[in-house]
Amino acid sequence: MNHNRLNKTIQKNISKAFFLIASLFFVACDNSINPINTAGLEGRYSIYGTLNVSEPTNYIRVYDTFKPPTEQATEELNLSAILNNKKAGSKEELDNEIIQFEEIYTHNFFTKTSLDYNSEFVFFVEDEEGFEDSVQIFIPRKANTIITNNTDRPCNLNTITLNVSPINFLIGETTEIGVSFEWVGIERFHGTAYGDLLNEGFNEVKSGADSSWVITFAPNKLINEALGRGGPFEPPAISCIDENIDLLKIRIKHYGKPGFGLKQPISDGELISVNGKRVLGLYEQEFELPLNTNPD
Amino acid sequence: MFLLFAISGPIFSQKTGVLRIMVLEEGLQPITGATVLLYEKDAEDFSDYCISNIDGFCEFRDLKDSLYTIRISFVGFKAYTGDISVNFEQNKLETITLMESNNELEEILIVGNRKITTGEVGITRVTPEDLSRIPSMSVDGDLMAYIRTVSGMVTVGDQGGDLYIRGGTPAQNQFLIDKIPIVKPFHFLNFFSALPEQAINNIEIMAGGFDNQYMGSSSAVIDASLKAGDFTKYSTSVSFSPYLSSLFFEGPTKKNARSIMLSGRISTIDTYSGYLGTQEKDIQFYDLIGRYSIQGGSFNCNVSSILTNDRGRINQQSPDYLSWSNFGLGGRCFGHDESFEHPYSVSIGLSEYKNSEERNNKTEREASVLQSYMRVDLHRGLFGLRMDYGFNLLVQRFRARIDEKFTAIRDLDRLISNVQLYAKTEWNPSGYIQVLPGISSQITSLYPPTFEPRIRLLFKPLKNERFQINLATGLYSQVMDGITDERDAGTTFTVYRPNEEGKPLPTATHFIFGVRNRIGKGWKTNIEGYYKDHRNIPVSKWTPESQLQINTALANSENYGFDVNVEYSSKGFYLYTGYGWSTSKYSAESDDLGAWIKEPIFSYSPPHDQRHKLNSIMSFDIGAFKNSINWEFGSGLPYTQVLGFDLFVSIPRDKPNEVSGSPRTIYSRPYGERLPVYHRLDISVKRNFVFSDAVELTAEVGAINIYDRNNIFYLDLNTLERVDQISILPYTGIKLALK
Repeated sequence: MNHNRLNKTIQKNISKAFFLIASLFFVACDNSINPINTAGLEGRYSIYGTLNVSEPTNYIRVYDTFKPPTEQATEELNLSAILNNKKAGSKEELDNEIIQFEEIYTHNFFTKTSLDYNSEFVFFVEDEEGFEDSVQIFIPRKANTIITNNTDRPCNLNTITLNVSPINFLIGETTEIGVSFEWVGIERFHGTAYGDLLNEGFNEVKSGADSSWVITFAPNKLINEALGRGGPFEPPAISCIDENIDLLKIRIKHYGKPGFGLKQPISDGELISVNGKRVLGLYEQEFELPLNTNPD
Repeated sequence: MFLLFAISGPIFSQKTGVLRIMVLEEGLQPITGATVLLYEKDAEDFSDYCISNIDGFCEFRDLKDSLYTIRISFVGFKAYTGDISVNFEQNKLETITLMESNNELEEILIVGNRKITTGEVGITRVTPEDLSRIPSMSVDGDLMAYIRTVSGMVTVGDQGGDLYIRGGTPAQNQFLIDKIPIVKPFHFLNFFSALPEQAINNIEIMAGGFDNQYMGSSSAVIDASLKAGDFTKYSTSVSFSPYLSSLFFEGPTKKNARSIMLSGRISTIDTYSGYLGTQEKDIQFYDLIGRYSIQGGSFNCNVSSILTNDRGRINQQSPDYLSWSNFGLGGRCFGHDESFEHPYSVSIGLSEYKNSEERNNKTEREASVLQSYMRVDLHRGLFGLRMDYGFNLLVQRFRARIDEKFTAIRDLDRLISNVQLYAKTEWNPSGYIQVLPGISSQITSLYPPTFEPRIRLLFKPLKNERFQINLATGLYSQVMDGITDERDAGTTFTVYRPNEEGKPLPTATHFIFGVRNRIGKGWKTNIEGYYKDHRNIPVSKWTPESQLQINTALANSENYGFDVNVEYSSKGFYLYTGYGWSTSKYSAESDDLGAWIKEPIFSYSPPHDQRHKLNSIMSFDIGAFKNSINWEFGSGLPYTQVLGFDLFVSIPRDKPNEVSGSPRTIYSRPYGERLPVYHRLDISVKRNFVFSDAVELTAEVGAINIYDRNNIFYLDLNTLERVDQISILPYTGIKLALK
């Protein structure tokens, strides 16, 4: 009997304690979270684009780094975008072309203004709260290209030389060569070959502020390089003669030195940040190189 | 079979008697965990004892030609006492049927200067009664609802079906259902698993330090056995609640010899969850379980099958759907023929797990693992010791296809074979110490053989069963990896695959220390400390892009902590309180991991590192009403704060007006912040209405999160949305049982 009474007393006390402890937690404690750390990082935008002298319209994408990539968050971007031509001392307010990719709205500010070689720009944005961000853009000097093409020789034995000058590799200017040609079975092939990816001896870079970029190549080899043929683990090489490829189009791109965002990249000092700004100035040159497809 | 016969061997050289006991319920289903005491004739104290296994089987060896008395007890059954004569050079089998009784609340506690039980540190045995105490949105209890109350078990939120056990990830856990490997037997809502109360016989949750017969898992094992159908009579039940409906059937296909058990459940939460102002949940799942059992005079066999399917959205605002399914089919025979000196078991079967993630009706990620196995477990005496040994031949095929937006398609298709061998023994140097050493090895064509010695120790300083000290330690290796995107708590999609060739296998060392004490009648306490050192854990590389990386970096982790559990039970009253403190810390080379941290070695707390967990369960009867209360408290889990976003355009290759760009997240220090604490109170009131011996109705009302706490589930780092766990969710349910 006593034992039962003791048990009941224990049970009653345990029940009371249980409810007391549980009720303590009914009182609201801080249940909020701060998902994004914006302190000291306001007004930072990621900016991507090109200013290409050879294009009639140039686009620069601006993205608010505090907005998640969702339809709702990206629909609006209220800021003004100015392209400041530092050499000419002129400013242009750019219009925004909103393009939706899947569910994300992108804001692409564009200029139709003709651009000058050897010029410097600052792309500058200011939002409604007065926060500003910007990026520098450099368009390089125009280079001359001297072409040596011996069309008397069959294309598989021919060697072509391009001499592009001046290019200032010292300050970070870069170049790129692209090749297009007609080929049986493929309507038109566009290939891009970077200088350092091509075979040794293909190009020669003379360092210096006014250096030359000398590109020497065999057309047949270039075609196979661009198509990814003839190498180890690649499909067999083709011949420009067999495929009757009688014209190469060479496109050269010359980029100005990269301009950095004028604000520090997003980082708190301990972290390695993602560089969210890249706008390059450039121009393009295109040349048609006839090839001799007669084997004799 | 030749191997089986050759090794197990007939009883040519037997010099002493063997008494085999089969403990069954009235429906002739085996009872697991019954205590069987053996008394020599007219002796007051027992001379030996054994505990029945999942087949209801245990045995006494080295017996003299004499008359013995046995006593058998198990909670909920009337104790049995009977005399048995054992003849010299005989393997005698006695089948004992225990009768149900509501008055039997305690098993016999073995006290005195006697042999001791197997060390059980790290092991939680779960019975259907344990499951029934936890409110779970339906009339029947469920394993998952119970597991969430156990110290050291962490679920990240209340959805997703992922379970972290003492620092181990879901991919480091192994789930066996009637020995069939099932990758993820948990449903979308973390209240339900594929194992409802009425379909299980016994479940062992081994949170670490498990013995050598379990291979292929480096952290934890959950070994469940399904209930055999009643061999004597038919019964069926059907239950409904707004969130789950179920159907159960069992009965003999040949009376006293063959039976079948079928259980099926289907969720209805997507239909009814929006009523009464509760949150809508776009979640569907079902499970089907069946077991066909055969009881012969010298063997028990069963064929079991399981099928589960889940589909839903964790974040109801997200277009991402998660799906997973399990299929398993396996057979097992347990032989105890008198002509064999020792019993044996043979298991064979296969299982397949698939999971996928889709967005806007397009499957972006899918992965599967197909496993087939053949397992043989044998026993024999060696130098006076009992030796358990066996092998498992496991063949696994892994497939995955990642076809995410903004990325190239990535594929995986691998096949590997794994021969797992083990041997373990039991040594009792004195009446107070028991040592259980073992060794195992996994042999594959891809990696060097593993070497996995393990040992379990049990010590009784007070020379009785009331106070026990347990130790377990050993090495554990794992061939199968699971890669998930740790940065995104909103997905549980996992790519399973073999460990990368040329990289070291994931291994772990476990140290577990436990003290069990029984204080007076009805009180039990258990304190356990643990340390798990995991090495070479493959973790998905971190990138600012939100895509899943199949390429992995290797991390090491240290997991340590302790649990304190207090349990009190008396007739009509039950109380359990458990507190767990734990720490889980990962470290990896920053460059290897792709971490955006300048430190060369980056240490972080993974998203399942829950420091404090407190659980209280109270169950009490008031008149005919059975009331249950469950209160959970957990400290906040780590999350990564965001510094910003970027829509990366590859300049100069791409033009801004022509491409979308790649979304990137600019993270702050990984897992540098913690979510707010979590707590929730669930209640239920249940009543049985017995209309006759054949008809019984059970009604239950209850509520999950009764005080409607806004517990955060996770922060969606891609949208910055806060996703909360279930708000208040009232429920009612009825179950009609026909016997």
